[in-house]
Amino acid sequence: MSKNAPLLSALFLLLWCNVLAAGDSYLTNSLQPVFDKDGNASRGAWVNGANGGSAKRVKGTNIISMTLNKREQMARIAFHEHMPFDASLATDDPTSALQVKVRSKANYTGNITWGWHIKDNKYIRAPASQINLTANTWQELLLPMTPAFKCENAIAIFFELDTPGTLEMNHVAVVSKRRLCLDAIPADIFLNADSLKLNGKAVAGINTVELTGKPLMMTEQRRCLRARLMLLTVNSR
Amino acid sequence: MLTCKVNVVDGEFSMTFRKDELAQYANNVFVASASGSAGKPEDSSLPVDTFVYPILTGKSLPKLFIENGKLYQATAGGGKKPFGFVGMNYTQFMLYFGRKESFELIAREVDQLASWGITAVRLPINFALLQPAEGVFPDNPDYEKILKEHNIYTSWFRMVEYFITLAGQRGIYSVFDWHGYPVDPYRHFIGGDIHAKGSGKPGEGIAWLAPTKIAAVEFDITDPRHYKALLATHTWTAMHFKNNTNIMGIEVPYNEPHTRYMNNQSNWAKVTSACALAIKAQDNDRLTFCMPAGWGHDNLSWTVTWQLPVGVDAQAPHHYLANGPVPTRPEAKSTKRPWLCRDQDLTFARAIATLSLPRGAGNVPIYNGEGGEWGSDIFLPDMERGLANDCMFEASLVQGYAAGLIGHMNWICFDNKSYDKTIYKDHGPRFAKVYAEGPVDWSKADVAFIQNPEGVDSDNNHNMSVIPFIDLMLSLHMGPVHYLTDDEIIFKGVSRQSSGLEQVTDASASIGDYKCLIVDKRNLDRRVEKILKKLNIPIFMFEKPEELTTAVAVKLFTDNGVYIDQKTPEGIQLAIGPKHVVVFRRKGESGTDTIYPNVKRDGVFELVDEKGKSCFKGTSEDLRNNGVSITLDKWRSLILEIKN
Repeated sequence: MSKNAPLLSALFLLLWCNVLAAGDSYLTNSLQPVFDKDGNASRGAWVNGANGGSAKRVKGTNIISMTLNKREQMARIAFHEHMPFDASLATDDPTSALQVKVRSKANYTGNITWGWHIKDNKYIRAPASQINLTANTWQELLLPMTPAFKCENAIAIFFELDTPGTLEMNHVAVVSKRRLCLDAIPADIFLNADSLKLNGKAVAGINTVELTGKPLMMTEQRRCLRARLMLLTVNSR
Repeated sequence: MLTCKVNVVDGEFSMTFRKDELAQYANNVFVASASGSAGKPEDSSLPVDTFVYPILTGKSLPKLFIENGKLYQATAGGGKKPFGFVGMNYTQFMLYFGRKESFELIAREVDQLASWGITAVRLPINFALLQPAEGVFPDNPDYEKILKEHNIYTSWFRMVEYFITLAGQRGIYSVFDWHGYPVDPYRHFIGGDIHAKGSGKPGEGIAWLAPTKIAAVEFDITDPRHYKALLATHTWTAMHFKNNTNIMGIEVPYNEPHTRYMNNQSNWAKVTSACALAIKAQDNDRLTFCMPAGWGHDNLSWTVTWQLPVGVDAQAPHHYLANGPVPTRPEAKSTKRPWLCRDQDLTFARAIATLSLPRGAGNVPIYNGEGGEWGSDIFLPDMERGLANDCMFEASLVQGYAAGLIGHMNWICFDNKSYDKTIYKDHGPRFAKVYAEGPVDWSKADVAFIQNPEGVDSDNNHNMSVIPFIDLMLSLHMGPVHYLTDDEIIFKGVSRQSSGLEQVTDASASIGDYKCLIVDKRNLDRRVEKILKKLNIPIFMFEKPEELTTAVAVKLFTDNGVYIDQKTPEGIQLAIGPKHVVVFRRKGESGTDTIYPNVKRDGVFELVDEKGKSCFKGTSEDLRNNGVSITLDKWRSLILEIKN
């Protein structure tokens, strides 16, 4: 086997997986975008600063710029009141993470904290993460999740810095870190086809995979259908 | 659950799943796990799922046809069996799928309908979606482009065809009903925006029959362009679905023709016949079911009772339980829909029977095209909604069956997510097996009731004169009787013969083989009495309804060998079908009673209750003499299967 094989397969994964390699041993799947790489604000989100912090979307770009000079200052991405962030997606299991792409015009070292803003002005923070940015270089972060919150949906996501700085940010999403993944199945694949070729990827070191297929429980069936019909409703507006 | 092992090659793996290995009509979820892993979450993929559509087998339903006034389903080897159904209005093609596309929802709902025992659906359709421009139908190259211009999913007709195919595969026949028209530029379901109405902004809906894009008009059959559009719709549909045996028929002329023009017999018959013949010209075997005038519930006119227009095969009136020929309650005027605020006891006691008896002496098949629990909030306001709906659905099924209907199409706006559909899960399968054996046979009767349908004034397009006959029939458990109007007697009973040169004299023709007749003389055509006297059939005639006492009727019937049952309590209704006895407590209190159904069988047979328990074994005479004990709640039914 070629010495370059692992490198080539990693490149292959990046090109074909529709997921992003995070480190050497994980693949990530987007569970819910918050502010995507094209600058689309999920759930009707808008960007603002709070407690004296400044944050805004850079006009004509897909980038959020934030300047936070004190610990209590925040950059926020708020959700539309009719489309709050579903609390059930914000789990604290070890496979979940917040994926963020950041850069700074100057080298930057400090701790970043993020969290959810929920009803009654409550804030749920994730553990702080140290970041070391090289000037003008995008870096992808996988930040640990907050403690799970239940019952209340989030009305905004926020970021704080313990060291003053101006950061740019893009591609914010709640992701799942896994060692293998399955490609999404095109909608209605079985309407006209009698079989389905299911494709997946695995990190190096996994040589055999067990695949299982089974019907969802009835309550889940209803949830899936509701979600799809809701999507239809949104799209047809 | 399917499990398989696959190898990872260069970081990738794949596996092919066949549809027939997976659970159809359901979302199937797939997960990949690293072999030999310790079960850590990161060693499994996130699940992905997809809806697995059913395999289309290409199998169609047996052809339905009518012979001697009865609906049959073809069987193997050129045979036939009577056909009847519990059905449902499936409104999604009118109120949903134009603006939404979901084949998955169709598949799931066909599965749901089948699970309720439904074997026929009425498809109410706004024909704007089928004919979005004058003369343009789905086989026209411009069809999809026009739909798109009006914000309608171009797959709409493909969804209709998919439904019909899949429903057929699941044993469900489809009937077309033209329920809406291209007349309102602001109607949401045909591409418009209701909020723009009145703004002066042109509507974007398919409304090519409206003279402008800023105002809706009523569908007007007197307008030649509207008439042509309707006929073209019938013609194209009959042509396109020619020989498709999944289609039970097409309703004519269109849904609930209630304009003043169409409430005239001559106009209604002319239009209805033209529509039926347009269909027959394309497919002579395609069954046509007529929709009476009014709100589909006219049971007075001879054209919708005993003399249907040329080209029409059968009837499909609308009989809503809550809107029967029953007086309204005192508080009716203070309710939102007073016509549904009717006497509850009388409604359960005889509403559907009263609506159905004047519909002819069993000479054509009849199904109730719309009915059921609609209006329960007004009709039974003090009852918990689910319970009220349940009672009304059950009563509609049992009373319709007893009246000899071949089927019942329940009305429901299908997309109403908040509507509790559990009532269908219970009563649908219960009655599906009863209806499936064919209707109670009303084609022969020992007694005919004869009257002028305006013996007392009609009301709400309903025959009110018939009520004394209904009370008699139900209280004596008479089973099929015939109702003949004086017009019908003259039409069928009079003949004339030439006698000598240029001389014609009256003669009589047969009106049927009856053991006796009861004749209401109120407003009766004078010729009828003369005709009847020539028939040599025992007759009781009355001038005032109070003369028709039970004692008088019982004497007439017993003297002439007509079977009556005075032992079964009056509050119990018995419907004796080909293989079932359906028992309904139409009035009185819940409790235990003995019933004496007149089940005609040679030799010994059994009656088996719904739990499979045998509750009677013996001959017809044993049952008539000794009866069978039942326990039944008020306004509830039970079904006994007749087993030889």
